[in-house]
Amino acid sequence: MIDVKKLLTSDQLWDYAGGVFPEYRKEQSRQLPIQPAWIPPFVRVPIRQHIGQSGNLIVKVGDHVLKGQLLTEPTHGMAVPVHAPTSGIVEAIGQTPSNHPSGLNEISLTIRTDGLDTWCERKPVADASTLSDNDLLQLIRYAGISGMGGAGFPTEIKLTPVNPIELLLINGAECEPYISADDTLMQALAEQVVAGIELMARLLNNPVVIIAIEADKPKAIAAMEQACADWEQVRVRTIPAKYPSGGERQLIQIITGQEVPSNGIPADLGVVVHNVGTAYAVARAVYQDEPLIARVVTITGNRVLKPANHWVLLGTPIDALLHHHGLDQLDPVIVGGPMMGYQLPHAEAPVIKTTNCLIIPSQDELPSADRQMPCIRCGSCAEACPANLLPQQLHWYALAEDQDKLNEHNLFDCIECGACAYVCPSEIPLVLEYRQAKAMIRSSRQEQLKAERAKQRFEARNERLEQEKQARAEKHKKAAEARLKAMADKPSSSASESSPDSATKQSAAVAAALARAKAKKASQQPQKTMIDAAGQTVPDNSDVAAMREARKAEARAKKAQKQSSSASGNGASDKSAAVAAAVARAKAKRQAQASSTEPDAQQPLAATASNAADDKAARVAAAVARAKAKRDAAQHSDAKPAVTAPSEEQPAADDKAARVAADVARAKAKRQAQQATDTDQKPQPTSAAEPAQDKAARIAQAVAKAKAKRAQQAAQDDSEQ
Amino acid sequence: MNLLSSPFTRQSLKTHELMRMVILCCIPGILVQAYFFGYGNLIQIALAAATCWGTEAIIMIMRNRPALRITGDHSALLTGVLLGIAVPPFLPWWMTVIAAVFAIGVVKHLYGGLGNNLFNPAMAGYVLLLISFPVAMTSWQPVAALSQHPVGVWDSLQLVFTGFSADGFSLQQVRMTIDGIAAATPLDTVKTDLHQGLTLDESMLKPVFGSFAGAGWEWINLAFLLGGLYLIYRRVTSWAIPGGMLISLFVCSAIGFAFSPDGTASPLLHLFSGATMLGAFFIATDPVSACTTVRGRWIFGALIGLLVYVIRTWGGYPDGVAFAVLLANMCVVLIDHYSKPRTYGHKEAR
Repeated sequence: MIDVKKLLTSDQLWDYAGGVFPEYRKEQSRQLPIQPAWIPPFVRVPIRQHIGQSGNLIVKVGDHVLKGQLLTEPTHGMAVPVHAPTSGIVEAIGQTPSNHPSGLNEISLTIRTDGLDTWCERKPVADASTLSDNDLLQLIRYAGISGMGGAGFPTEIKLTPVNPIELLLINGAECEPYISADDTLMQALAEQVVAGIELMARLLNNPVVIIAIEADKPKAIAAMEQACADWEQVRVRTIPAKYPSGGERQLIQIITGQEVPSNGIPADLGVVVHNVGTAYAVARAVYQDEPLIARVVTITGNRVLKPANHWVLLGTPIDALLHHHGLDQLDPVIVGGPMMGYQLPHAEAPVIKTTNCLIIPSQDELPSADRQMPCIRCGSCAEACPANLLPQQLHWYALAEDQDKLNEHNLFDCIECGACAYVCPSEIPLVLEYRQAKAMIRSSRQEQLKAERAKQRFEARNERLEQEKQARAEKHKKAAEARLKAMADKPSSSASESSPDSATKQSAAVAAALARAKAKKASQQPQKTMIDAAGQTVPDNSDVAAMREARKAEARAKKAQKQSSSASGNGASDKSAAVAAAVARAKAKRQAQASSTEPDAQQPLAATASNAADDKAARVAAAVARAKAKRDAAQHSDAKPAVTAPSEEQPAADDKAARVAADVARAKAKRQAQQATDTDQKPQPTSAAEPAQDKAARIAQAVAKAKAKRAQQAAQDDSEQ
Repeated sequence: MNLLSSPFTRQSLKTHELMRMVILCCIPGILVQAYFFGYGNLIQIALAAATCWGTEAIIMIMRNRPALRITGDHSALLTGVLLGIAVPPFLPWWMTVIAAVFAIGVVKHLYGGLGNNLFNPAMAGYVLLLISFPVAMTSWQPVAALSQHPVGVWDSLQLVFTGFSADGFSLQQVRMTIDGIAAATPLDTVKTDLHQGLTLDESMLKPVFGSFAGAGWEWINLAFLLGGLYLIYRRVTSWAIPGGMLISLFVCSAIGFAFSPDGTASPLLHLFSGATMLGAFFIATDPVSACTTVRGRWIFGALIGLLVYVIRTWGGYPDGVAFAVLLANMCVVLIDHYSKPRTYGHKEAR
């Protein structure tokens, strides 16, 4: 930690690495007095002028607002309100060009000023000690105060730090060339600045206060020393004029010799840094109840006839302001200093809380870098870098977009002060390259984050699916076991008994579904048995196969149950379903028992077929019966299912199905011809093609196709053999 | 006006101005060298510079780049000037041309042009010649005062372009000293004498030596030192590389001299002989092929100093600046990697 007591007595100052000595060019603008504010015909107040969120708008178009009136209500912690800088009527609320290097539009209020500059009601506090700390903080917050030296961080938040603060560092360095806003403010209003510092110190539990001012501002130093002569905890330190001594981290190093950790903030060292302009704004808010509605702006550059510091109402359009000062050609205007400022993309953008300087340079004053040369690795940039980086290496890696190397060389410790580009003899726009490289890395980090999240989601999904699959498998296994058990328990004749039952009593839909499922199972069987027939040695795993088939069939049956609801009302299909069910069940049974044929399994089949009233069903059944008879005669039980399978395709309505069925039949016939030299069954399946319900037809079609495929394969296998 | 990004102000010294400044700072050394060794060097410098410039222009045209703008950075010119200074005054013209074309065409532009070359182009060109034509490259004539056949402008031109002076003397004849012995450079003399068992003091009595180092050479080195100091004063170059090199060379030779005052060359002789000062301030400081970190530059300079001493003392060549610079160039990436400065707010790395 820092020995703060010593800071009050010791004359030691530290130096930071690098730094440059640009021409300061402050003399032309630093004379007093600060010019009074000018009221433009209209002001454009952006609702967000700091780092953080904007507040909620609380006025609407047409409202008459008074000077100092709250325009937005801060709703969350990082929100800072804005106020009407003068009295007038809210003319519009909408998107206007922002005072930002991007030149993007932002929401702002356009207020037509009435020139009366009428204040709203004010309650100045004469003695701040009557206010509680909380009241004071709220007052500062509602006055819309954010850091006025640099980025514009909400001041109230910096006055309520998490760590105990031992050193309040007031930044009056103002190291950027041209700018003299803080300088003149300290010269003219040192008493009020110190009053603000006192309030800040009070909120931070009276730490040691150091006011750091660069040596090129003797008048400001004298004024500040005089203003805080009778305050013991404070000391004004004169620091050498070097750029960028006013950088927060550099200033801390100069005064304390300590470095703020790379990923940390000054509060980690027990230090907080505030700008002199901010201190003044705090005093003004408390003792005059005047919110932050105006600031000192240096208007300078060779094109400006009388460079000076002006009070400018926040929201004053810059083009109007410069016109008012006799400037017509407004390209380019640089906002901020020449080292870290930016060229104003739209001159109609307003002055905001962080606008400390406007430079209107002549052609040769700030010559543009038009002769970029290759980097010769001269290393001047490394010697100039206040963060002790290697800009020449960063340049190399930025061009190569080598993110790993950029991170390894601590790109994100770059404070973008511009010292490297200032000294670069090859006029390489280094800062621009680093900004782009940072943006690239930030966006790829975002991408990575997104990809990581997507990956997690995907993995979670896979895991869930896997779990579901396992659960399903478990369920199926149990069901199959139960089914197998039930089959084993029932006598073999149960099939014949149940088939008429299902035709008459049970729901036709369920029966149809079960039938289709079983039929499928049955139709799968021939492949194996065919192979058997062809003389291949196949292990006798029919029991296991039956189990598996049973499981599959159950799943399919369930599915089919849902689909077959439309077919349930159709009597013809009911009947045929019943027939099929009977056929299938019989076959299933037969196959489950053994690969060898049992005569009693065929008897019920024939019986069921004869019971069927429908012609088609009858024909099918007849065919089946015939086939079986033949097969029995030929001693080949295997051929039969091949014929019954097509018989399941009755509903197949269109030609396609018929053709498929025909193909199947042909394939099977071939097989049978090889096996049994019997071709009688061939014509039968074609006769099965009949118009039926669409849905059923489509399902059947699919089933048929699948079977055809299988059959074809089997046929090919056979023919090959 | 096109102001892209901050900063909008820049210091005045540009790359081409830096290069020009370096060339201008060579002038005292060149003049002293011309005073002692005649016009040969001026011819070589003009030849090498013109060849380098021309080569760069041709390559730029081939690469479809703005030739005038790029050659306007004076970097090729500087390479040529340094090469011209380094080669012996009466080197056959075609050797100089080969070295210059090699330096710019191969060493610089095949690697991508300015800023991308790994090796110091002038020294690479020099070493190419040194390896290919060792005799020609070590054939320095004696300083004018010692020469048997003083040569004028016309003689010099004739020697460079035809090999014979206007009077018909060959280079070997021109190299004769008044006592009829072919001249060797002071470093060469010391090396040979010490090798032959003479003491340093005995060797130093020879006429090739002046008041404290080689006759003529000591003044040439002083002139380059002067130019170099001005470069540092103008912040064109920093102390790191010349400082590192000279301190290292001094320390090495002082240690050697302390152990064997008779058997090794004195620190003074090392510092003011051969290409020491030229190398320290004008050659090793080529930023492109040198280290880029401040610490790395001290190390880089010190490495060159050490290598120069090693090559001069134990190597096969009388001088070793060119080899030392090229060897150090090879170490640049490594040195840079391990000499990264500690970034603000970071703990000391590893």
